[in-house]
Amino acid sequence: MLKDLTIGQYIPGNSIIHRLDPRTKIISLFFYMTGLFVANSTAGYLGVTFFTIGVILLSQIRIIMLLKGLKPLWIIMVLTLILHFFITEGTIIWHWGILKITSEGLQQGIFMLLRLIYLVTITSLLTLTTSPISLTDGIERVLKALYVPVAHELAMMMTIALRFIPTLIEETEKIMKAQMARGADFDSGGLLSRAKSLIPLLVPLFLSSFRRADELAMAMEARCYRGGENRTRMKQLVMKQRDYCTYVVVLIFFGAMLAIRFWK
Amino acid sequence: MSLITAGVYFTYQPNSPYETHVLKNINLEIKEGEFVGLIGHTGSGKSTLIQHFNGLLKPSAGKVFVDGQDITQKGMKLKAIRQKVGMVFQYPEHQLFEETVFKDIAFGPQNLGMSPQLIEKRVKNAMRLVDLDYVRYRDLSPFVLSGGEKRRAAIAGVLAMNPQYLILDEPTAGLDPRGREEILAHIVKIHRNEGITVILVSHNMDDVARLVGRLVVINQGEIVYDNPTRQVFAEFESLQKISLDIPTVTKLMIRLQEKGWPVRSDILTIEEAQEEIMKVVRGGRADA
Ligand SMILES: Nc1ncnc2c1ncn2[C@@H]1O[C@H](COP(=O)(O)OP(=O)(O)O)[C@@H](O)[C@H]1O
Ligand SMILES: [Mg+2]
Repeated sequence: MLKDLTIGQYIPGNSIIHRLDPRTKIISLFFYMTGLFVANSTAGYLGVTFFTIGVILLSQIRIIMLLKGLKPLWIIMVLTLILHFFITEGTIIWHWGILKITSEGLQQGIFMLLRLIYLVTITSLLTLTTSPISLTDGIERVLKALYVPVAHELAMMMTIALRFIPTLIEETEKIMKAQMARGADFDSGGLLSRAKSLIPLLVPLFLSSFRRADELAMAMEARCYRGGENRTRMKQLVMKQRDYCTYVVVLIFFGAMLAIRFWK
Repeated sequence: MSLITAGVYFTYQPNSPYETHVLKNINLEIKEGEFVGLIGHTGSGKSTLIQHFNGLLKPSAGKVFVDGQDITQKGMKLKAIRQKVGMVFQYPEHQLFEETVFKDIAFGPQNLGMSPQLIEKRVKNAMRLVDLDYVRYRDLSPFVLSGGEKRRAAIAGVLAMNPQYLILDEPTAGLDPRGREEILAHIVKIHRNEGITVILVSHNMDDVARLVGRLVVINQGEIVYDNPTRQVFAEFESLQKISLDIPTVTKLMIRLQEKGWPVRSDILTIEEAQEEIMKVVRGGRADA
C-alpha cells in the first residue's frame, strides 16, 4: 500500500532519459510544467499527452510503476473530477434533481484530472531516472546559476528528504505492524477514532525520525562534511550533445504550447 | 492446538522490478508447549515467516492455521488471532508511545476491549513477568527508562494481551551481554511458569541453542533443518556452509575430541561442558 508510492524512488537504467544531465532534466521539467499549465484546450492537452507518452517510452520505465505511483492519489483525483463536473456553469447535458453536469464541467474536470496525473507522473519520472547523487548535483548547479545563496545546503537537504521518503515509509509500515500486533486498528471506525488511532503510529515515527536525523548528522560530521564551502567533485557535470538536443525538443514543445494558447 | 504453515510461499512487491521471493514452501508445525528456536542468517526470511503466524502478512500461496483455524481465509477476525499469537518485533522499544509505562502496556488489552479492572490486573501481571516493579514504574514515562527496561516494558505490552503463543524477533539485538542474559532468562521463565509456547528468532546460535528444545534453521527462505537441539552438533559442516555456527561450547567439545579427549560433543551449555570435562579429567586422559 504505502510501498506503492514511487516519488523519491530511483530505478537504475541506461535509457536516454537516465543518461541526460540532471540539469537538463530539471530545467526541462520546469518548461514542461509551465507548458502543462498553459494548455487549456483539447489541442493543448493532446500535445502534452503525446509529449508525456514519448518521454515515458524513452525512459523505459514500466508503465505499471508509474500507475502505482498514482494509486495513493485516487481520492484527490476522483474529487477533482466530481467537483468540476458539478460546479462548472454552462450548457447542461445531464441533470438529476439539483445535480447537473455541464459540457464545460465535463471538459474542465477531465483537463484538471490530466493535469494532476501528468504532474505526478513526470515528477516521479525525474526521481525514477536520476540517482540521488546526480539529482543533488543538478539541483545545486541550477540554484547556483540562479544566484540562490546556500545552494549546496538547500540541494543537500532536498536530496536527503527525497532519499528518506522510502525509509520513512518502511519505518511507518514496521511500526504499524507492531501496533497491529497489539490489536491496533488503523482502517475502521469514524473520523475521530481514526485520527486517534494515528497517535500510536505518529509518536514513534517522529521519535525515530529525530533519531535518524541525529545519527545522519553525526555520521556526516565524522566524515568531515562542512557544507558547500570549498567543495570539489569527483564527477563533473558536462553537457553532451543529447542534452542540447533535449533543450531544442523541449523548447519546441513549450513554443507549441504557447502558440496553441495565444495564437489568434 | 498448534501453529501450522502448509506450503507457504511469500513474495514481496510482486510484479515490480523489486520483486523478491522470500519464502519457499515452508511447512512447519509448532505444537503447544514447545520452545522453538528459529535461526537463520540475516535476510533469510525469519521475520517474514513469523509475520504469517498472526496474519500481518498473507502468504502468496499456501495456508496458515492457528489452532486448526485457517487464518488466510477471507473475513477472518484477525484481532482474536493477534491476541492468541503475541508478537514482539525487533527493537520493540521503538513502538513505545504513551505517556506512562502503565498506559503503554495497557494499549493491547484496551484494544481488545477489556474492563479497566481486568486491564489493571493484566498490566500488573505482565510487569511482574518481566521484573518491572509495578508501583515504581507504572507512572514513569517509558522514554526515561534504560534500554533494557524499555525493551522489557515493550515485551510486557505484548504479554498483557495474555497470548498462548509468544513469538520474539531477535529480542536480544543491540543489548549488552548482561541485558541479553536478563531478557533470555525472562523468556525461559515465561515459557516454564506460564506455559506459553515460545518461538525465539535469532541469528545467534549461542543465544538460542542452550535454551530451546527444537531448532528450525532457515536459509534463503527454505527450511534446511528442523530437529531436536541435541542433534545440532552433528550438522557442523552443513551449518557452516550457510554461515551459521554451532554453539561455542559445542565447538570446544568437538575440538577437544579432535585432540583425543574422550568427551561427548552433544553439549549445549557451559555447565554441561564443565561437568563433562571434569569427569574426563578425573578419570585421566585417554591417550596420556
Ligand atoms: N517490506 C519489505 N519489502 C521488500 N522486501 C523485504 C521487506 N522486508 C524484507 N524484505 C526482504 O526479504 C528478505 C528477507 O527479509 P527478512 O524476513 O527480514 O529476513 P530476516 O528476518 O531473516 O533477516 C530480505 O532479502 C529482505 O531484503
Ligand atoms: Mg529479521
